[in-house]
Amino acid sequence: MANSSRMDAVGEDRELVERLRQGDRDALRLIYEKHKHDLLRIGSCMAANWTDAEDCLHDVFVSLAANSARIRPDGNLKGYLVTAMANRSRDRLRARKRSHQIDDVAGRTDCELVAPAIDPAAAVFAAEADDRLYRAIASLPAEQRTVITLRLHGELTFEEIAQLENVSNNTIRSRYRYGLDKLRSSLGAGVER
Amino acid sequence: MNSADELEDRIRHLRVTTTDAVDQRILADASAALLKAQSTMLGAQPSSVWRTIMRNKWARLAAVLLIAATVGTVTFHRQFATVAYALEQTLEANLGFRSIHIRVEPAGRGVHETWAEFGEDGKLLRLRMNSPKTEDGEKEAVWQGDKAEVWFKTKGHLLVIRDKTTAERVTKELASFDPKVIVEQLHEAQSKGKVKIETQDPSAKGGPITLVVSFSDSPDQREIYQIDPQSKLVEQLKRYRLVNGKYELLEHVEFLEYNQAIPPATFVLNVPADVTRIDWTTQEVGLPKGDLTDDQIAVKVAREFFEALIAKDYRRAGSIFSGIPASKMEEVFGKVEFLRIVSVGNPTPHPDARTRFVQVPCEVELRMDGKTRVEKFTPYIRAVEGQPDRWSIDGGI
Repeated sequence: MANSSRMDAVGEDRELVERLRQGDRDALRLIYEKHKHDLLRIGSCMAANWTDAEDCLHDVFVSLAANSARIRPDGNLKGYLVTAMANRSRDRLRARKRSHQIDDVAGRTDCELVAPAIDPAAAVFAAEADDRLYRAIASLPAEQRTVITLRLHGELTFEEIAQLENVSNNTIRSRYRYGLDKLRSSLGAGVER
Repeated sequence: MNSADELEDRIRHLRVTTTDAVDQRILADASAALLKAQSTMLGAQPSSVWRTIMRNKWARLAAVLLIAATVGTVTFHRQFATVAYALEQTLEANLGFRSIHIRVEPAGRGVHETWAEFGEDGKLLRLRMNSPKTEDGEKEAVWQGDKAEVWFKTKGHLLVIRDKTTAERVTKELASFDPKVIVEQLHEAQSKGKVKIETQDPSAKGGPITLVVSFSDSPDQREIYQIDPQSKLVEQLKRYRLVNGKYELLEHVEFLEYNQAIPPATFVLNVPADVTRIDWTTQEVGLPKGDLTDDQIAVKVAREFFEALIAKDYRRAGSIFSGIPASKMEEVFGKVEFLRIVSVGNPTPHPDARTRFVQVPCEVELRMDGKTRVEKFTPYIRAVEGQPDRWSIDGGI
């Protein structure tokens, strides 16, 4: 079932890319709406900075539009966007030289956590839990949180991440495993073994 | 959480979203880049792309604008020679309609629809607006007289308000899309020499009349009107802005169904039974402001809200929280034991000034699932719609 829905998503992406190549701005908007959340998660986890994540998202979509004619319709759109987002987030992080800080994920201004007002209390506690999780992810070494977010939000395989990071498959798997272990440990009371 | 799978699932679903302002900025810049890429392609492959553009009559007009922007206004003048049509004909035609359906598509912000009925004197009688994207999420609203009902579909509640000023505000909101107002303003601006209107009138051949409007005080703006050659009513309006030498579409407005009877059901919201109803016409909401400053009343509202929760007084807490019914408050907050207010911080204005919110950071000790902890809250507080002397929490919780 999961594979089937993934195939549907890929088919939909190909149709959108075809339309984008023709200059269809509705297609651009649909691609944005479809992928922005996962890309923002990647940006915020990798760059550990909300403003940077938002700026990276901006740059990725401007670049996608500017290069629309060169994007292969039979390619993997999400993979393209994820790779572009990862590269930009990594550049931002390096530029800031703040690989272990999370400075404004909690105090986000123009971006905000979703707070479904139908159940205000649930929203508050969910948002608080997400804040803790963001902080825990941000406290991981950059290479571990990169693997985790590319795997879980980018839906890349370990092999694809290994290629992207230019390290071995086993190294990527280890980083992923160690990263999750650290997260479980640092979330403390919120995580029961 | 007891497994790696659950942790992975939580990470996958980390909650995040963007505001409309962020979405608009990104989509506007990306659209401009797309347009630029397409125009570059136009230069590389003129014939095929040109044929694609010319297939659509509105794209044809946009293409004309692009050319005009590069070769100057002389070409613009030659493209549109003024002939028989005059704006006064549309002013006259507008006197006759009593109802309309308007479809507005701001770039990248979904399709907003409005149905409006007017009286013999031309005053607005009743209105429905469906808005897929607003700062409050998706909402539908109906208005008649001094009463308005707003269904906040994303937030899941229905708000009923009654206010003497509502009619004036609704009329003002409609003005940007009311063809009567738009054409009157255009005519006035033309008579004062503030706009230049170039007219293309192929109505003898059955085609629509087109007005291309440029503004002396906003040279980067263009509006293109399409007028029905028989009725002389405005059918469509497109608003453009010049970005990096190209005209970017800001908004597309379609004026549909002039004088078509609007079914009465259109002006009734079809709200599901389980939507929380908040009626501000039958209850006082929030706390009286009295002589307090905005910051002082915001702090007072925040403090008394949490005191009510600590006392398990859900009726009072709900009254302070937008008038949410006590039963709903108990359903939501009853599972949490609020113990004490740890701190109430300094109020600050919400970053989005349009919301008029004052934010008050609070820390409250509470017990949930057998665990005691201190939670941070930042209630958004503002004056109550229709009860301007009272302030209540209206978000952030």
